[in-house]
Amino acid sequence: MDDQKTKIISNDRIADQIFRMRFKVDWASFIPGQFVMISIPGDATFLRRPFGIASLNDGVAEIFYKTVGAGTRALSSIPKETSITVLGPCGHGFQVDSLPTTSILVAGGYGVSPLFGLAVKLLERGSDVQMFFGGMSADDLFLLDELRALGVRLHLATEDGSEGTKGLVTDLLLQELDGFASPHIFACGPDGLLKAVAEIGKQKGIATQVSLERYMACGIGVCLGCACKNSDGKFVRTCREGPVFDINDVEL
Amino acid sequence: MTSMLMTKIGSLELKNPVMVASGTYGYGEEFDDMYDISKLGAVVTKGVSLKPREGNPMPRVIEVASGMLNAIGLANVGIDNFLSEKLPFLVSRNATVIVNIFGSTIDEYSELAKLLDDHDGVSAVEVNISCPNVKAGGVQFGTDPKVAAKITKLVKKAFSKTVIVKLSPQVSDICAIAKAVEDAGADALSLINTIPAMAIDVDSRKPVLANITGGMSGPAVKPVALKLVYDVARSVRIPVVGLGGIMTTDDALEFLLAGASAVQIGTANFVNPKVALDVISGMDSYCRKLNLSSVQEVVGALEIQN
Repeated sequence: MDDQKTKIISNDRIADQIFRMRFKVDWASFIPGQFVMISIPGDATFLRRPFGIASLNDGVAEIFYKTVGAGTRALSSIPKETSITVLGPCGHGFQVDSLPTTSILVAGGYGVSPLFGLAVKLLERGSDVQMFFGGMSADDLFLLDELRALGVRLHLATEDGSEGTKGLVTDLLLQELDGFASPHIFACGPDGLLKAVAEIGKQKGIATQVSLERYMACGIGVCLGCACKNSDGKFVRTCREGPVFDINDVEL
Repeated sequence: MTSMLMTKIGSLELKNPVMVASGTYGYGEEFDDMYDISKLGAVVTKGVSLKPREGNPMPRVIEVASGMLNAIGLANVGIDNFLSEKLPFLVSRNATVIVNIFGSTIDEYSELAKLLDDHDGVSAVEVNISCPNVKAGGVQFGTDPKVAAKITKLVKKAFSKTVIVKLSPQVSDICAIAKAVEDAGADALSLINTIPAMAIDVDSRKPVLANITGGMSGPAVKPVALKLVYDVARSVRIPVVGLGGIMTTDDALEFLLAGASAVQIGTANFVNPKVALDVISGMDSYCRKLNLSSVQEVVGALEIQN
């Protein structure tokens, strides 16, 4: 982990409220699920903001974010070439020590960001990657062409039915899950989605990891502001012990 | 760094006057892969209590204009784990260690001080009588000069090295507390702890923090902290350690000019994890530029026109 000054290479709107940002970093690798803490230029924010790393190619890191608050709104208006400070890679990412035959990735909205990097890694290693991607409406489902081009099989669901199956992506997952050979599940999205995925994983006895999103002040484990509960009901730090947890180790 | 930055707090000698504040630096481990933590004047640990504490429910931090609120509630590993795991790590890195101690009762402070006294790796204790986020103890001890003095006396009796007492800004007369603590034998004072504050979500009409209120820190509190340091430094003879919203070398120098012998960097560690090193080298440059033989020449050097 290091903190470095760098320049934004690109920061473009790619869908409604969704932006893709690229910047150079010194680190050579990351574990999908890890994140960066970015200082947002200007006076809109005081603290840095955490963003899941989507990819790293030739020293260029990429993140995707949705404009949901003051920080991301301010970030979306920062032009390329602007200097930012990037701390990373932070946290504990997805563990793929034993490669699953089928990798089931469950994404909720911009939760797809860290799963993009995971999909790349899993496909490289020869796993069959099936992604269940859900959102409120079609606007929440982005990166579809890139994911298809990688070789990811997509299963889409929107609550308003504007893209894919109408309904919750976790219901779609439950319907189709039995058709896959010895799957592992990897999920990132809002807490409701993660909770439903964890229940499915536990019910079916499938190894499942979830990546949590939490408000963070420091991102390095010292402010203790992003704590979540582990399976013993004790606080653990989302930024350090997480953001990726095995479902048996975290209380959702 | 040269001896120009050397600083004394009571009998405690520091490489430089830049410490990192309790609750913003854990027990040093998280910064270990970013820089050599022995370069700091001192690491002031997260507040340690007799028993481990989980702290308050979430959410317990929120950003506000030019700062943040926290209501962590002194979550910590407890003294046993601190002594068996955290302290050996800090010692292995040659860090100068000041242990922030917190008790729910007056006697607990003395017990903690006694347990720490045996350890060579502990250079000083900082007595936290000013946390705004706990139900028992904390700031309730720091608002009554008699209680503050009593705790100071007990800790002095139990601990043979430097005792620093950390003061709350939310009292009607901070100098009265400062003097009471000085008279009770404190070697130094540190101020300010966070300022009690709150934030409300207008959509839900609920407080943002689960604890309802929290403590404010960051650049927004700096002018308040500076004034209190200025007041206290003129009313006591023991050294004052200034903290509250320091983000830059100039911020730190302001505290020295106001009368602080050393400073602590707190919330800035969250925003820029290497800020303490920047301030140390910034102070070094400042002293060189002005041809000072010691940074202590800056302490209390505020010039006031008549």
